[in-house]
Amino acid sequence: MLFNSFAFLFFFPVVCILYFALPTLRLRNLFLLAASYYFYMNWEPVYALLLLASTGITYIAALGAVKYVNKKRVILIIGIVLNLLILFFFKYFNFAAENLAAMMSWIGVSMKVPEFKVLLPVGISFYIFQALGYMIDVYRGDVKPEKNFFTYALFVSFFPQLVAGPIERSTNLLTQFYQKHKFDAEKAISGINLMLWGFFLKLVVADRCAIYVDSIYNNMGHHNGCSILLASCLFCFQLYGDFAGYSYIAIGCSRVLGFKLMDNFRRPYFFSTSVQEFWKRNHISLTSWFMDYVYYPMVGSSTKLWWWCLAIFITFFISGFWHGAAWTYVWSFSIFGFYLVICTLKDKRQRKFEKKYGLKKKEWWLWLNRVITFFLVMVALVFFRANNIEDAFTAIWQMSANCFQMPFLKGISHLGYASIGLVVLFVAEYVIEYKKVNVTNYNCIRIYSLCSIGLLALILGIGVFNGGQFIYFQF
Amino acid sequence: MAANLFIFSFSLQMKQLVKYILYIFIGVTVIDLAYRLVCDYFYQHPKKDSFILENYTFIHCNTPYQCVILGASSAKHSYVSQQIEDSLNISTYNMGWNGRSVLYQYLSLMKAIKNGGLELAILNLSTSQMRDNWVKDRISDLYPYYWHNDTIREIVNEVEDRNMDILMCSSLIQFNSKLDNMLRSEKSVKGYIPIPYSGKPAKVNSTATLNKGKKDFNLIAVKYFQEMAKECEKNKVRFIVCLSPSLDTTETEIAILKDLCDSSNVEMWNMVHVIRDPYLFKDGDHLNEKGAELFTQMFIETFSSNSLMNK
Repeated sequence: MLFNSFAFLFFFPVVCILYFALPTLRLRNLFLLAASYYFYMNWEPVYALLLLASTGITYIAALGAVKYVNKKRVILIIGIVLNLLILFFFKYFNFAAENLAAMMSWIGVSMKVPEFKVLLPVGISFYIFQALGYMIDVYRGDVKPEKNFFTYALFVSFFPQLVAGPIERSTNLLTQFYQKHKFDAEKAISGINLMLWGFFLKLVVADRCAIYVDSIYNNMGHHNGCSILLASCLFCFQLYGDFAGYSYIAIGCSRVLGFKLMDNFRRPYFFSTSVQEFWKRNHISLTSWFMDYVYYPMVGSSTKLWWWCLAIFITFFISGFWHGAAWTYVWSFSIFGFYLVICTLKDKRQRKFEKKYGLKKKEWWLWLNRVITFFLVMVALVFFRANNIEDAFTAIWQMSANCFQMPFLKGISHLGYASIGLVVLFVAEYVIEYKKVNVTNYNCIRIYSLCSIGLLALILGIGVFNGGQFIYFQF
Repeated sequence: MAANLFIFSFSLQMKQLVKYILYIFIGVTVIDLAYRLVCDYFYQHPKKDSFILENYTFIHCNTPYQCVILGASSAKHSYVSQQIEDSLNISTYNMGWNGRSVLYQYLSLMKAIKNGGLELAILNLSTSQMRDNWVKDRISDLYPYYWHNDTIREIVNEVEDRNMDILMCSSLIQFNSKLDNMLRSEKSVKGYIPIPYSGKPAKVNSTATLNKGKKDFNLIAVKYFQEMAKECEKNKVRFIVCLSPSLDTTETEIAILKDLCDSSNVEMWNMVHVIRDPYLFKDGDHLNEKGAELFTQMFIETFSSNSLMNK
């Protein structure tokens, strides 16, 4: 079920009313579990079995790791491998087979690769990573294994964040299933507001930008550098609007039900002054997941700078694969890895330089760094959006060689509407960043109402209602 | 459980939520009503040269014409109405508009027939006007006229596959993304809008032709295309499907359209290849003003010789 579908408009209020109407915690959790599976099965019912399999494997592995302490390492490895096998089979099998065939033909061996014709299960990378995170936490002794299978199954399948995150930690979410949440109007109102903000980001910003971006990127050879540059800038906001939109809706839904999910975005595109900061603000749940379960274990107690750099690069390289079975993602994240290596190497020198000239608190210096960071991010995301590697290089070349021409303005009205969305986005983020307004805890019903009215009017008046899927569903 | 629900429903918390929802409802309704006043004014009192007047001729134009040209942007920019009027001595109006599907052409035709005196209807057709995603995507162009008449309502509900009455009560949804329509103006001569000659050759858009060979027609569009043929026959209007010059149109696409016309007993003129000079095009599908004048002349000659042969 899509958040931006009419079905969800009915589903969510019904779930809320029944959830709070149920008298016991046990019943509530069972009901939420059933609702979550119903939500997931709306795409392809049979894939609920995969969700169940991943849940079962990690549940048993976590219990086993505690029971058989001597063999907990083996159990952990088996659990990880089984989960990754599911992921590999459904997400990477065709990609691996194609690449193997290409490699073989390159060395002169022709081979026919089997093709596995199957739809990618929605959100498979998200729930598998969430389950793996839990298993590793149990192995490390950070959390106790969950004994109640249904509660654990609810943790893996909790419908607001099931298909596109935030990738929750057991330390945060699992414990909340043991609290009997009372209906709280303030939470509900701020949750609805967050949901509206999420819908605004998706329908007004992301889907509107997507119209222009698609028209350029799907006909790359026929557009000049300026059009590609404009489309690439808009793609940054499309991606942000799409994914942050989903996250806000997920966090909002959860808040209405009384749950608190982790923040996933903190204004990464307008206010990051370095690529490092960008990744501290962007897709926080995934970045912290990779940091905690890949990067830090790899670095260990090493103090060698070259090893840190290599670990960063490897982490981002793997993150590229996590995003999808295509070399464009791997390239995109390798570029991010490369940026971060450079950032790590120049970090000390930059800090010294900033201190010497007192630049750190100067607004112009901050904005200069923000513009540079945005540009660097945009270049990396060209690979993320391009249909193939050749297109990505064509885009980079065109942007650098032919950017002083008139851009393609056939869909100028779409650009106009996208601009309205982007201006609202910038103003809202500016206010939150500079005035330190915490919208999530703003205890004023009138302000909330005014925000909601404005957002709803914009969504209905200039939103795109073609039922477009969220980009991150494919991951 | 009942007691729990009772307490829950009447708690202070609930009152606050209801208050909030009420505020939103009132606020959005006020904005919606204000927006309706503005949109209704612009859509019902279109100024001369305004985009709305040109775009929605099928609603506003009450002048009877003997000849109408229907179609999407290639019709709009290819048929010089004045030239046809002067040469054939029949009053002519170009009702084509950018990106419109066959459903829009059907409504335009019905309006022209209703206005009376119609003798000739030329439909400039391409496969995209019939394609499923195109038809569904462009149906929102009819939203502002949803309450105007039953046929429009019927078509919208049929394409959307649900009753849209409730959604269309909100002017924000009905006029969604139509702000620019109210502000834009387009100068036309009897509906024809010339594209200035740039002196540069047009590029052929090879990727744009990729999907043109696919016959993923919308069945509702096919039905209304056939309705157009029937209505013309009933009202003794000569109905011609014409394919204007294009550098992008493929042979497969022509064959698909020929097939469609043959099965509906409609006369089809394939004029795709009559002009091949890229300097006479703005892009692969659109003639510039020089190209349009030349094509209109060719069209008139074909029509005259064809009429003579028929006599």
